[in-house]
Amino acid sequence: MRLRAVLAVVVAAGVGMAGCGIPDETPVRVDGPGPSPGFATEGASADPPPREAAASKDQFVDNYLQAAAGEARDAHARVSLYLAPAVRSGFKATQEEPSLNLVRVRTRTVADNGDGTATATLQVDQVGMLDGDGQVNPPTQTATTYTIKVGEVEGKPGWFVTTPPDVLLLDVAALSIYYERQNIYFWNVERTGLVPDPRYMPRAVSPAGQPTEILDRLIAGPSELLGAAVRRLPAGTQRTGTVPDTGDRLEISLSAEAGAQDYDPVELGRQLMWSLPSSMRKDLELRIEGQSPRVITEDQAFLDANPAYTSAETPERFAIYGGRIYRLNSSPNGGRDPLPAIITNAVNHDILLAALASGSGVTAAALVVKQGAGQRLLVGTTGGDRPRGFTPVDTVREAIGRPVWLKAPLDTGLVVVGGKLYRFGLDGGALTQVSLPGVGGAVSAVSAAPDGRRIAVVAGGRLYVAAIGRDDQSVEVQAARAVPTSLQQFTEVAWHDDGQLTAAWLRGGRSAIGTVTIDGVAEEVLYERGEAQVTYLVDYPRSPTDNQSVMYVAGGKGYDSQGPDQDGVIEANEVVNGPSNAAPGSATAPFYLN
Amino acid sequence: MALSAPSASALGKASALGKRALVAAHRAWRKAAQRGAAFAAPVHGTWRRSLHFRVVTITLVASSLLVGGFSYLVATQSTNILLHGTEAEVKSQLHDDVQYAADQLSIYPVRYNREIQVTLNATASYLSGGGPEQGGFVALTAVRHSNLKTAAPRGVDVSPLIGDQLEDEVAYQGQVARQIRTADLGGGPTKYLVYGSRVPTDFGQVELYRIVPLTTEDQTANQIRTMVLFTGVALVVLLGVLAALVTRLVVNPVRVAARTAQRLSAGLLDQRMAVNGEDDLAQLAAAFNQMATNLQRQIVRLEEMSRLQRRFTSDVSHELRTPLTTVRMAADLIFAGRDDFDPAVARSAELLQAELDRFESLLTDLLEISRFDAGFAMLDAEPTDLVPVVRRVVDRLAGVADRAGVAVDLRLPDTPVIAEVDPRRVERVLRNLVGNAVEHGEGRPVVVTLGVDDSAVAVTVRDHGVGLRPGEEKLVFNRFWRADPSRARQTGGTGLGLSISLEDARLHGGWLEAWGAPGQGAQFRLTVPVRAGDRLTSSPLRLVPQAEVTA
Repeated sequence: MRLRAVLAVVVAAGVGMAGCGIPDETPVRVDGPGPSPGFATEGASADPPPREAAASKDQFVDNYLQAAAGEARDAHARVSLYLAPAVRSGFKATQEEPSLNLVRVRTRTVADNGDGTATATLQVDQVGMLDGDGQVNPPTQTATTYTIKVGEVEGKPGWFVTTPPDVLLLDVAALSIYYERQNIYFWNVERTGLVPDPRYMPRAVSPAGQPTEILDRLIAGPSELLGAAVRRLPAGTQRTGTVPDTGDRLEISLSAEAGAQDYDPVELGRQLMWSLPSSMRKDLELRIEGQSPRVITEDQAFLDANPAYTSAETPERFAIYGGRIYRLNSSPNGGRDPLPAIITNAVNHDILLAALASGSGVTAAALVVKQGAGQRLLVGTTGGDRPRGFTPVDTVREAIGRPVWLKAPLDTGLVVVGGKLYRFGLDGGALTQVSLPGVGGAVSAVSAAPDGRRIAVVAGGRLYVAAIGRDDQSVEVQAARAVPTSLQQFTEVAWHDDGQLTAAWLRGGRSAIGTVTIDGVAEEVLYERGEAQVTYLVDYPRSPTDNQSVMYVAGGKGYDSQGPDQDGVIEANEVVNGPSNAAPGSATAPFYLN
Repeated sequence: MALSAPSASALGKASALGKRALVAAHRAWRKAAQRGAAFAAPVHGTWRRSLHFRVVTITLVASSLLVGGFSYLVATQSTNILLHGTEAEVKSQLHDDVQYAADQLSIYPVRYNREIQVTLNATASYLSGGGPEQGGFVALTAVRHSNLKTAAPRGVDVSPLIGDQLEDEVAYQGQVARQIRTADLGGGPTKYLVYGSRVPTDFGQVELYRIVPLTTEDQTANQIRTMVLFTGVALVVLLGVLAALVTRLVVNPVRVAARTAQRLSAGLLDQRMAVNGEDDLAQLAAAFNQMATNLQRQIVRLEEMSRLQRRFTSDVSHELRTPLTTVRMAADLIFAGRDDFDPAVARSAELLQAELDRFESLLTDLLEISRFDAGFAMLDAEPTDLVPVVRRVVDRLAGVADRAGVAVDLRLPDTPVIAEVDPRRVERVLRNLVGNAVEHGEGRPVVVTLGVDDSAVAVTVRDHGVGLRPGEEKLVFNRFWRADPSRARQTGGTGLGLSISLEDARLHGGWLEAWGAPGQGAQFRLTVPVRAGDRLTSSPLRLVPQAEVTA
């Protein structure tokens, strides 16, 4: 009996030792409650109306033209819901994020066929292709008419498209409803400043999801127009996570490729931060694989990275009166400040046109002065490492157009002379012609974006935007594109903000001033000037605030949209220290210190 | 309990199966126990005999229990510590993981979005880092979202790792829970710690599981276990060896002492123990040797004295015999011519003759005794019928009995009682016993009984005299012993008769015993084996008379 006990003890000890390792399986042990689920925050629905929403066939067709609006990857599915089941199978998505054909509908007629079906005939202008990254590329379709058959399907309410066009159509009017204009930014190749690349963000993307979408767009690269003028993110860069808002920061995680030697992560961070809409802009925590996280804040260097931001809240306004430059009292401080140091009494005479710009520590002036029977361009700078007085550029010409300065860095100007575009430098010397590939007709006006890498020109009455590459000796137009607008007979152009131009045009012999987006999607008339042709137009590009500030000359009179006069004509009392006998509107060629 | 019929039968089958297994196990256990018992029998013998074995066994068992318990504690504790460490680490990592995943998924609003799956995959992949082999990985599930698939790095199928119970706790009860499970994810069965928590998102609920292989922990635990086991076994063996050595150190001298003592007791008086060193055992050996030496000296001295005494008795007896013969012859002459003497002288001659007879028989007895003492007494055994011997003894003493007025009652069997005895010595014993009985019989009858069985022959002699006081039944056989020393010797007894009788009985390999009680007389019994040289185990007659027992 005792032996049995001993045996049992030995067996138990063996089993015990065998059992004291890590078990193969344990029961489930609970530590405590997990994090409580978040509160669902359903944003305002930003979806286009569903198929069933239409009360009439006309409305149904309108709704159909909006159906594609929203997140690109679901566009095809949304449009499919409008199609009759019989034709759905023939309507296949060719890519994950299909491009939408933006059309401007000129006329829409819906004719009842009498058998319950209807035929809608659309006369359209092709505006462009809105791709998944929110950029509008030139149109690929040339069709100007689309015919859509509308009918009913048995057993289902509402109408269906029974004969759809084989493309995804989106009415440009829907863009402003279902999309938000945003800029994403790329560094110019010289890394002197950021160049905005306007995009459209579907409102269906929640604010929380937008930073991630924006990051994806940055990674995808710049638009075709800017392609050669800006730097892409380092090749192979990918995001390794979404961009969550952790309260006081947005966290951005990028793959190791983003840490390429020639791409400063801090610059990358500033680029990212500028690309966020101002409403959701906050400190960034940039995590690149293999590098310690960096925090990017809205410091001065961040602000300096965007040349457009350097513009003052209230622009300094000037006007030429009797060949002399005067301040206008709508300038800051009532215009009582003295003229900029560069405009000395020695040069302040016989001036026809002037352009003042400051940036990179330099204030530059380009003056078109009367010299004998002709005109001459003078350039001068103060500040910087080589301050110099005024130097004549090239020879005396018959007529010289309004000069503009290119910023970032401020070392080059453009001017239209005799229907051609020329470049000039700070050192004077000769004018160099800038060829404009793809631009037909005589050039009549030029304007430069604050980033210094985009210009707008009016040539042959049409409006073009172009991306340029430059150094301190030359300017090269890398890509130019006609703005696909319904307007014609442009006479003047000025950059209004990152993605919009202020332009003057003629329609039926009457002139108007308005804004046109550079992709031609939106256009808006600001001022009708009737018979008085607008011959001169300047704008003060400002970002991000959208405060309309434009000065122009129409019918020989100077106008300031922000001036005290109701009509905008620059009154004599607005000219600070000007001659008291000046007639209203006789102040010409008003300009800003850009 | 309302069981449906098939399930009841299945249950019954299962219970029958279980019962059969139990029976089989019990049988196997009993078999092992039996085998153990067979082995245990000699072990038990050794256990009783060997102090050495006992001490070693007790040490082994006790140390095994102690070391086993301690080892179990150490192994279990270290495994627990290992596991707790890992669990704490994984838990904190899980917290970070959940935070990260929640952040990553926070960009998705209420609505389902196809991007979510991409983010799930990317998050799982990002959090997994090195992958399933190194440091664990993360799997994201969305059991409450039919549109979302489980996201795990490299498409690892984690379903065997996330059990239903764990899933229930994490996904439906909203708990942070953990479990250890074993699964084969491609590199052989591995133990995994699965730690799960839900991830709060706006579009619903996602669960995150951090799955960490316990390979290192398992190996470490196994190593610790092996180490502890080996250490424990080594310790037990060491303790056993130590106990064996120590016990041997102590037991060996004791064994030597025992052996030496045995030899000493067997008569080898010159045996001594070896004395090594000065420790306790050496002292014991020295003391033992001292004792042995003293004993030997004493015994030799006593032997010498005894020899001298016997020699003296023998010599004196011999030396007395020669003059006694001369005196005897002279006394015979005088006694023959006593009728011619003055009556007083004649009376003296008679007295002289009587005393000489006594003296002669005393000398004879002394010589007999010294012969016994010297070991010269020889048994001259032959098959003898004891009935005539008894009769002859009684007949010879008939005169004495008549004078004393004592009737001798003979109780003899009808058949001859044949035994291998020395008739001369048996006759001497009986004569002595009957003579004593007649002498001390106080006129009351004396009963002589002869009894026999298969192995022994016995003669009892019963008298009804004064009897013996308690303790005297042994003393009566001492030389020259008297019950009452002051009592005058009336008969011609030498005081050596019973001593010689005892020696005679011993020479036969027999017994001579006495019984007596005051006022009830005494009984002597002689028992001898039927065949010379046999060992006596019992006697055919009772030593204590039946009447006394019943009385």
